[in-house]
Amino acid sequence: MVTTRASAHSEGRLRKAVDVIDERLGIRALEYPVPEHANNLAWSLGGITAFAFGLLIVTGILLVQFYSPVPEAANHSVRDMVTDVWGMRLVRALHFWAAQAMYVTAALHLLRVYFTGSYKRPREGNWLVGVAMFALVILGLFTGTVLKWDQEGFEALGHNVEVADLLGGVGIWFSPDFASRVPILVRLYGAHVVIIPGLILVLLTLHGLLVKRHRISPHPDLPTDTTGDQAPTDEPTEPFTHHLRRIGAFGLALTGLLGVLAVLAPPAVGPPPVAGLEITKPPWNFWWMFTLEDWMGLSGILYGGGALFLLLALVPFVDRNRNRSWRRRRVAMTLGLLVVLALATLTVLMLFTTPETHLGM
Amino acid sequence: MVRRLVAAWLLAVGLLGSVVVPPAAFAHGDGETQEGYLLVQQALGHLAHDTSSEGIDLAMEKVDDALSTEDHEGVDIAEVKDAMRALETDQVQRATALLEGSIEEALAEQPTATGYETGTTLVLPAMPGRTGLSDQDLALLVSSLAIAGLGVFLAYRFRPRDSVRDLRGQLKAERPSADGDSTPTSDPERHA
Repeated sequence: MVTTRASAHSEGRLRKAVDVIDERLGIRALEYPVPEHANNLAWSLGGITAFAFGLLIVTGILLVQFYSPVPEAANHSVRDMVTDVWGMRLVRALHFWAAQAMYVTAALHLLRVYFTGSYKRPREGNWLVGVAMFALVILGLFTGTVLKWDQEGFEALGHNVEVADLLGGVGIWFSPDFASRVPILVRLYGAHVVIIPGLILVLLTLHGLLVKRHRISPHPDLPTDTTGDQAPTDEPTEPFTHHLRRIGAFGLALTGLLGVLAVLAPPAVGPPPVAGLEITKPPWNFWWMFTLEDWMGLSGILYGGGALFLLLALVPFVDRNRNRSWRRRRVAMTLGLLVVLALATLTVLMLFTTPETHLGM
Repeated sequence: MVRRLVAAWLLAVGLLGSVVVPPAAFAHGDGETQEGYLLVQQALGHLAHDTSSEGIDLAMEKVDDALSTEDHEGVDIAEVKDAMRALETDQVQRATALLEGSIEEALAEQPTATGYETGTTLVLPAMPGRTGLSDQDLALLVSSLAIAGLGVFLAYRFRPRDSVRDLRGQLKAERPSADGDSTPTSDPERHA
C-alpha cells in the first residue's frame, strides 16, 4: 500500500516535470500516435541507425581531441592516442564498430523499406533522402578509413583520386589538384568531421519530418486504409514516444554489443603509407567494388557504384505496382534478390583475390 | 530448401572464384617510380607488411630497383647494398635499420607534405588492435555484457502488445471482407 502510494507520488512528480518542460519546449508533440506494427524490430532499424550515428558523434568528438590530420603526424597520433591516452583504445574501437553497425543497420533498413514496399507513393521523396543518407554513410566509412593514414587508407584514397580523375570535372573536389597546397588528408578530415555528419544531420531531420508527415508506412501483411497508402484507422496505435523508448532499448543493447566487440576486437593501425605500393585489401564494405576493379580496372568501381545508386534512386519511379506484399510484387522481389545476390557474390569473391596494382597504370 | 539454395550459391561462388577471378599478380608497369629514396621506402613498406620469404623477395626487388635507378639523391648506396646482403641472409631487422638509415638525408630534405603526398618518414610495422586481455578489459567486457542484457530486457519489456499475426487476426475479425493478405482494402487492382 505504502509502495503503491510512493510510486504514484513519484509518477506524479515525473508528470509534473514533463508538464513543466512541455510548457516551454512542447515535447508532448512527440506523443503523436503511430500504428502498433511500427514498434517491431524491422520497423525500428532506421531508429537504431540513428542511435549508432549518435554513438559515432560522441566517440568522434573525443577522438578529434587527440588526432592530428597532418600527413606527417596522422598515423603516429592514432598510435599515440590508443597507447598513451587512458580509455582512447576503447573509444576508437567503439567508433570503429559503431561505424560498422551504422552501415549494417542502414543497409538492413534500406532492404526492409524495399521489400515491404514502404517507398511507394507518397514516400518516394523520403526514399531518395534515405538513399542519399546511405551514400553519405559509405562516404563516412571511406573517409574514416583514410584518416588513420596507414597503407590501407592511403590505397583507398589512391583509388578515390583516380576514380575522380575518370570523372573529370565532376570529381574535381576529390582531386589533390583542387587545393594543391593543402594535404588532401586535411580536406578529407574536414569532410569526415563536418561536411558528412552535417549533411547526415540535415537529411536525418528531413527524413524524420517526412516520416511524420506521411506517417509510418503500412505493414504489407496487414490491410491498409481506403487510400491504400496508410495503416488502417482501426489498427491499434501507440504514442511515438513509445517507439523512441523501444529504439532506446535496442540502442542500449547495441551499445553493449559494440562494447564487447570493442574490447575483444579493437581495430589495428597499419604501417604508415608508402607511395607506389598496392598491397592491402580494402575494408569488407567495399569488397564488391574491388572485385569489379579486378575484372574491369578502376572504371569498375565507378560503373559499379554508379549503377547501384542509380538503380536505388530509380526504384520508386520504375516500380508502379501499388501492392506492398512480396507475393504480389514478383518482378521487384526477383530484381531485388538478384542485386543482393550479386553484391554478396562479388563480396565473397574478394576472398579469392590478392591485391593487384591498378593505381597509376 | 533455403539450405540447398545457399549451398548451391556457395558452390557457384567457389567455381566463379576459381575460374573467373584472374590470378594474383603485382604489375610493375610504367607507373613505377625512378626516385631512389622512394624505392627504398617501398622496400621498407613490404617488410613492414610481410616478413615472410614472399615479403622479403618483394623488398629485395625494390632494393634492386633502388640500386639500379639513376636517381640516388639523398640515398646512401653503401648502406642499401649492405641491406641487400642482410636480406639475402633473412636478417630482416638489420636490413630494415640499414634501409631506414640509407634514406635519412633524402627524408630530411623533403618539404612538408601537400596534396596527395604521404609525409611518411618512418615506416613502422602494423600495431595490432589487442595483445591480451587485462583486468580492465575484463571489467569493460562484463559491463558491456550487462548493458547489452539490460537493453535486451528493456526491448522485451517495451515490445508491442500485439504481434503482426495478432494484429492481422484482429483486423480480419473486425473487417471480415478484408482477406488481410497484404492487400490494401482499397487495392486498385481489386476494384478495377
